[in-house]
Amino acid sequence: VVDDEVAVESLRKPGFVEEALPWLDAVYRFALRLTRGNEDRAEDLVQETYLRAYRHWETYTPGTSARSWLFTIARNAFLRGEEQRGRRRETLESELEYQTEALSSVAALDEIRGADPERAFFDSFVDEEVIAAVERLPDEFREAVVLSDIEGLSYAEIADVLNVPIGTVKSRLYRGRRLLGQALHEYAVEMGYLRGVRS
Amino acid sequence: MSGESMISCREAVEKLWPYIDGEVTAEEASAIRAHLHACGCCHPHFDFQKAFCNLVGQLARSHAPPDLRKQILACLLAEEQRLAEGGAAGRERSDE
Repeated sequence: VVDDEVAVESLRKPGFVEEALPWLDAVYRFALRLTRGNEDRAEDLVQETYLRAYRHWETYTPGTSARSWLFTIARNAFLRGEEQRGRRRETLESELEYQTEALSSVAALDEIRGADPERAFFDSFVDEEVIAAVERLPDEFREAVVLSDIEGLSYAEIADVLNVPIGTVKSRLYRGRRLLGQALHEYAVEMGYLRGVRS
Repeated sequence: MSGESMISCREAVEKLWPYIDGEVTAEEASAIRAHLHACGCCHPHFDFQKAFCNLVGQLARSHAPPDLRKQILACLLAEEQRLAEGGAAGRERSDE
C-alpha cells in the first residue's frame, strides 16, 4: 500500500504531479468509453497511459493542454492494444459522405423535438441509458462525441487527439450527435416515455 | 458586409452546433443570436441541442475508482525507482 503523499513527493519529473495527475478522472472516463464500459480494461489503460506519460514527460510542452496530451497517449495505447488483440478497426468510409448527409439531417432532430416540446424527453434518462447509447456509437463518432460533449475539448484539441483535420472532427461530431439523438429517441419510445411518431 | 444578421434558417441551423460549442467567430455568433431572437422556427433547435449537450455532459460527473489513483501512484513510484537505479535507460524507448 502506497501512501499518496509520499508517492507524490517522490515523483521527481517537474510539473507532472501538478499538470498530469489532476486529469485522472477525465482520462478514466475517456478510457471507459474507449473500452465500451469495460472497467478492468479501462483501469489498465489509464495505468498504462500514466506510465507512458511519465516516461515521456519530457516530450510534453508545458503550458499546452496536458489533458489532450494524455488523451492522445490513452487512445494510441488503446489502438495498439486492439491491434494486438487482432481486432483491427475498420477503415473509415468516405468523410465526404458524412458531410453531405450531415447537411440534410436536421429533420431527424425535428422529429425528436416535435415529439416533446417540454424537454421532459431529456429528463427521462438516467446516466446508464445515455452511457449505453454512447457506447453503441461506432468508434470514430463515439470518440468525437465523448471528447467534445463529455470532456469539453475544443475542435482543435479533438483534431490533435484523433490526428485528423478539424473538418473531420466537425463531421464526426455532427453525425455522432445525430446518431446518439436517434438512439435516445428510439429508447424513449421503446420504454414508453414517448409515443412513437411514425408516419 | 451588409445585412450581417440576415442569415437564413438553413445557415443558422447548420451553424448551431459550432455556435453551442463556442467554435464560431464573434461576428457569426452575433448573426446567429440575432436570427434565433427573431426566428420562432430555429429557437427550438437551439433548445434541443443545448439540452442534448447538457444531458451527455452530465456523464462527466463520474469519477475514477479511488483505488486507481493509488495503483497509478504505486506504478509511477516503481518507475521512479527504476529510473533512479538507472535500469530503465534503454528500455521501452519505442513505446510512444
